[in-house]
Amino acid sequence: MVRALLLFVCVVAACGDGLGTPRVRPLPAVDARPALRVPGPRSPRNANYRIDARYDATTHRIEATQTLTWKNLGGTAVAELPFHLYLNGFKNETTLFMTSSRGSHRGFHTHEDGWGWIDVTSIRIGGEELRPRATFVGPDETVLSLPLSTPVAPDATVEVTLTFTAQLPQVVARTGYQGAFAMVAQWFPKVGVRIGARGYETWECPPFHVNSEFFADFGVYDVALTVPDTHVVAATGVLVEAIDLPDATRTLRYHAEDVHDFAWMIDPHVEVMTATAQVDGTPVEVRVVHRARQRGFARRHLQAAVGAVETFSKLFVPYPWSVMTVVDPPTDAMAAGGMEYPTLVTTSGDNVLMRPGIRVPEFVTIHEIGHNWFQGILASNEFREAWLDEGVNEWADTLVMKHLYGEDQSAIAWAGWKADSLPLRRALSSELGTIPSAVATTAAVFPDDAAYGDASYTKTAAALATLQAVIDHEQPRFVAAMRRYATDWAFRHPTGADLWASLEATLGEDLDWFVQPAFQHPGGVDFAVRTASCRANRAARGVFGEGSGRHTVVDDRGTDTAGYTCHVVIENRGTIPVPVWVEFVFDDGTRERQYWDHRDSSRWRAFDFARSSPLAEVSIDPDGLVALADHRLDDHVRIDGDRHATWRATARVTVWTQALMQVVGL
Amino acid sequence: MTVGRIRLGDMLRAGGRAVSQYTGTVLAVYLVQLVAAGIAGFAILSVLSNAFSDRMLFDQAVDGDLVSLLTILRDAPAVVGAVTWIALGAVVAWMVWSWYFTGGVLAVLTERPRGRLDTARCFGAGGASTFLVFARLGVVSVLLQFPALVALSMGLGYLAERIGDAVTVGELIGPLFLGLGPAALLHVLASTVVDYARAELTLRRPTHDTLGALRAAIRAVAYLARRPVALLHVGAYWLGFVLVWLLYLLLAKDRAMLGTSGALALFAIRQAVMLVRTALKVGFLAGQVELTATRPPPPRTIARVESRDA
Repeated sequence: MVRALLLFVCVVAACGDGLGTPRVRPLPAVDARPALRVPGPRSPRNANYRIDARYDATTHRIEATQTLTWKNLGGTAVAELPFHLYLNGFKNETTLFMTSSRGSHRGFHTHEDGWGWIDVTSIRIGGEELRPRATFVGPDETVLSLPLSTPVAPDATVEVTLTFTAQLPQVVARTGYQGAFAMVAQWFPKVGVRIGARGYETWECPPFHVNSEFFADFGVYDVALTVPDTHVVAATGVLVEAIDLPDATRTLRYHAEDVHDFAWMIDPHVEVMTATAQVDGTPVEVRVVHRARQRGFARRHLQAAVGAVETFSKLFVPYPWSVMTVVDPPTDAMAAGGMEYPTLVTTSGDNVLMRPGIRVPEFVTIHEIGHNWFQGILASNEFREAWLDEGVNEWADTLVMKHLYGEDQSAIAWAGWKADSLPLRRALSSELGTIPSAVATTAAVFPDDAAYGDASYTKTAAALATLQAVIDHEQPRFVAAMRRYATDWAFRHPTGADLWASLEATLGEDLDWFVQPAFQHPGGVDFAVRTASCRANRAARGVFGEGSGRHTVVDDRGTDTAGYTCHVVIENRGTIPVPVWVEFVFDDGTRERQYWDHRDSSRWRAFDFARSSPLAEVSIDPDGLVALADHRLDDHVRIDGDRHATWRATARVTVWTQALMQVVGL
Repeated sequence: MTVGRIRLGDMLRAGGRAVSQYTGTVLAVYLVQLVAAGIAGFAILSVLSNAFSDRMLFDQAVDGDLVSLLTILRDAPAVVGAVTWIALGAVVAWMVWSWYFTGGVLAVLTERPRGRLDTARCFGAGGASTFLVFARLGVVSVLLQFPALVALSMGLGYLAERIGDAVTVGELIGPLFLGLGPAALLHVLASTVVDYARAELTLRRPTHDTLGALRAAIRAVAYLARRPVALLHVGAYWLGFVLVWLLYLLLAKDRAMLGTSGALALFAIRQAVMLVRTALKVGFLAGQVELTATRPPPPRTIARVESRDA
């Protein structure tokens, strides 16, 4: 009996996390499809990487050699190459990432015994060792600048070989290990991007800040990963070679084309669920990598992922790659969740409270997959213009959610509750008009995380939805204009100015009246019914006529001319002018809608009616199209109060109160 | 006098007898409770009407539109706060009034008067005579409930961590029991101690007017340790409480109850539930009185008065 008990304890101790001992996995089959669904090249491919990396699953450390082939696409010679060393952001508490994040990201904290770093030990060009020349620039060690012996002329190419060691942090800010799981992202020295007009280019390679995501040039990635044969790997691109090695490891070689990043996940305890999405009649393999206990959520992610790949392809440009991998991190590694990389995203939202119908997990998957368009294909500068990928993507996500789950219930359809994703997000967000920074603000310059998030995500999405409502008010044109922008700027680095120029050209109208106040300045939209009143018409009283014809009307009895005169003033207390429908409902049930085309600087508009019936209700934006609007409570008012709803609410609250009284007293 | 050992069945039967014998008392307590809730409701109605009767978004929120409801909760925090404080105020006030009503009910169950007038007199006198000592017992109960509060705080922390990690309902059940179970158990124990202290204070009032709240509570702790049937009885009461709730859910299920007639029907059903629960509570108290009557009375201190002549 005692022996059995001891055996049981040993087994439990050995299995610790309940996942069991990792077992040798069969050698994975190589992908039978090319990296690109339709042969390329689709991009300039000026930053190409060949990486040979070995992962130590015990120390979570990577030893690697990388060859970068970089082409100067600019009009001036380049005398230095700056490299992002993002993992050094997790090196200690003095880095810009740590000071700007105060040690936490999205609610997940850094771990005192889990620092991350990257150490570049050698840099060679043409056999010349250049590492001693390279210096860190900026406030920390996240940017390494390499002066070149020979400048790279316009249209010339340079090949740089770097040797480095990367220590993963315990998972934080999208990257790192937790137990046997590891999400390996922003792990290799990545060259900056030349931006600016031809002949006046400068390097864009800022230090790693908590609010800055990533920006890189397109290229071809050939990455060989040597990993334990017990582990499963999911990575950007397609698996083109898999070889077992004698030391219980194997080398897996991945190939990706026309991408600007490469990320991978490794875990001995995961399984893979697959399905196929159809894009332009050709298949895209969609995979969800997950642990067994998250299988139920993996099904939801897979369904959302297939729908996202197909719907984004229809709405904007067809998905160009042949695989899409969704990593569903273990629940104790959710700091790795909710991030996008080309052809591979991480999701999150797996929680018992997220019952089927509460579509938070689905939304995360759709949002991250959406980034394969808005940043993956349209590779905007996330450091300078975070809104251009986060907010535009957020707006696009709402279209996809509606398409997949239906109007009015795209976010929630559970236990009788229903809600659409953007209105729900607005109801949960702060007032957009009070964000102290403009949307078009460099990510690192926002006063705090909340301002960055509200402006880059919610306000941008709400502003685009509002603009869409204005543009589409006669016929739907906005999505087609966005499709044109996506097509024209695919596999390039569009800016906000490029987006507006593209939309104006396609729509044939000036958008400055909206873009300036909504994106370039702080402020919002705040409609209100300022005045609403009616009076019964009757003969006017007073003294009329002159001389002998002078008479005084003192009594209105019997002189009613019937009908009512109503006067309504609506106003916009915000700073962004938005044309809006106003609905007037009269006592006899008739309704009238008027459009306040308020693109000028007018702050208010008066409406007068002469009707047989008095005005009962005034509703500004009755269809809820102006997603930017704050304080919606005073947008829909009735002239005379109606207590039906307050009675019902009171009855409900009173019964709850009474029930509580019974619990605490007699 | 030798009293036979009381069993759970005896306590439950005593409850049934009391409810059938003192139906008027049950109804009176329920009506006072309804009036108290109604006063709070009137205040709530006044606040909501002033704030929202001309706001159509509020109608949509009451009709079940989630976005409108969230918008109102966010944009009208003063109104939401006012309603919350009125409701909480009513609950706290009822808790204090309950000291009086419980004293009255216990007096009736102890003295078993006959006729409405005698019952009313007994109720009033009992409530008044025990109010202050019940108030002191209320202070003692704060001390008794302190371990439950500590357990609740720790349990909620534990539960929050586990909820964050749980992906299936099965993974949640264990942490729910471990997180909330100890606090619930300690709360029930403390409440039962207070209940039995109240019963003894009422029962022994005529003979032991020096019996204080603290001493009664300490005696109740010792008694409960010896008579687990009291805890079984509490369990039976809560089972009944939950069954009534389930019955209500069953009656309300898939019935929209819209419009004025629907609202009235819903009100009637809910008030019926409240009435049944009040009856349950009175029956529960009767069972406790039945058990307390078998307890040996506390020893009396007899002062020795020496004769001056001696």
